[in-house]
Amino acid sequence: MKIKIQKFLKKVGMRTILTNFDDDISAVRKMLKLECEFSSPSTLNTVIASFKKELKEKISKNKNFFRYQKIVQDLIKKIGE
Amino acid sequence: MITLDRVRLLVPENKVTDVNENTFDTFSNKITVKKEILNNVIGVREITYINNSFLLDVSGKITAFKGNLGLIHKNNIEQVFEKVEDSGILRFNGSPVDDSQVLYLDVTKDVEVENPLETLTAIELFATQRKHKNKILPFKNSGLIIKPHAKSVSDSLAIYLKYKEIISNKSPKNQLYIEKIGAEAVEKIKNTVRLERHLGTFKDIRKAFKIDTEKIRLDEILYSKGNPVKDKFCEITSSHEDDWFTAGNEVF
Repeated sequence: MKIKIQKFLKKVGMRTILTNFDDDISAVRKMLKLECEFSSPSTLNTVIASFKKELKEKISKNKNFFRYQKIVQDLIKKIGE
Repeated sequence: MITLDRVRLLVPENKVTDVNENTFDTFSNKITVKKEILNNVIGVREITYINNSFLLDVSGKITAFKGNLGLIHKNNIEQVFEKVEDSGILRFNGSPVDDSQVLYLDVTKDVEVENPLETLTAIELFATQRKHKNKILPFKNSGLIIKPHAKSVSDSLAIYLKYKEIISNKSPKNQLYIEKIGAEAVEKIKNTVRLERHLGTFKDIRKAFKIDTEKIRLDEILYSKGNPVKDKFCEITSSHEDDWFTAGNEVF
C-alpha cells in the first residue's frame, strides 16, 4: 500500500497537494479515495494517519522552498526590466 | 540599460588639454592626485597619470543628486567628465567617451524587494544548491558575494543591502554624499537590494558583454543591449536545464 500511495503522490504531484492541503488532510483523503481502492473506510483512515506526519513535514519544507523560489524568480524578472 | 557603480578608465593624453599639476603627487612611483584633494570630490576614487594616459577611477556617486543615489549610464556619461572638470584637476579636449578604454567595471542593478533579508536568504539557498562552480562568501552589509572557484576568473556577483552600506559608512566623504542625495533618498532605499557584477579582467568583460574588440571602449559597454547582471544571477541560481525557472514558470 505504501508503494501505491507513493506512486499516487508522484502522479498527482506536490503542487496539487500544496494547493489543496492546508491544515487538514481532507483533500488528500478525497484524492486517495478516488485514486486507490480500499477495502474499508478504516483502512483508508489508517493509511492516511500513517502518512500524515510525513506529508506535513514534506509540505512544510517545500512551502519554504517554493516561497524562496518565487522570491528568486521575481528578482530575475525585476533585474530584466 | 547598462548602469555602472564603478568604472576604471584610461583616457588618452591627447584628450586632456589642461592638467592642474599642483593637485598631483608622486606616490610609490605613481603620479597621482593627492588623497586630500580626492576626499572632497564625491565619486572620484583615483586619477593617475600612467603610460601616456590618465587613469580615471570613478563611482556612480559622481552623478548623484537630490533624491538620486547616482549610477553611471549612457544618458549621464558626459556629466561624469564634466564633474571631473569641475574638480579643477583635468580639462578635456571635447568628449572623451569614444576614446576611453575600460579596465574594470561594476555593472549594477538596484532592485526593490518586499523583504531584503529574506531575499538574501532565498538567493543563498539557490546559489548553495548550485555551488559546484562558485563559492558563496559573506559580503559587507549583510550581503553575500558569489565568486568562481577558478582563481584565473575575476567575475563575481555581490548582493547586499544598499541602505545599510550608506548609513554604516561614517567617513566625511560619505557624509558629504548623504547631504548631496538627502536623508529622504536614504530612507527610500530601505528595501533596496543592490546587485553588482564585478568584472576585473579584459577577458571577463568581453565574455560578460559578448564582445571581442581588442580595446574595450566605454561607449560599447554603455550602449550594450546585454544584461550581464541578469545573466550572472541566472547562472548562479539555476542550472542549464532550468529554462523554465529563469523564465519564471512555476515548478509543477
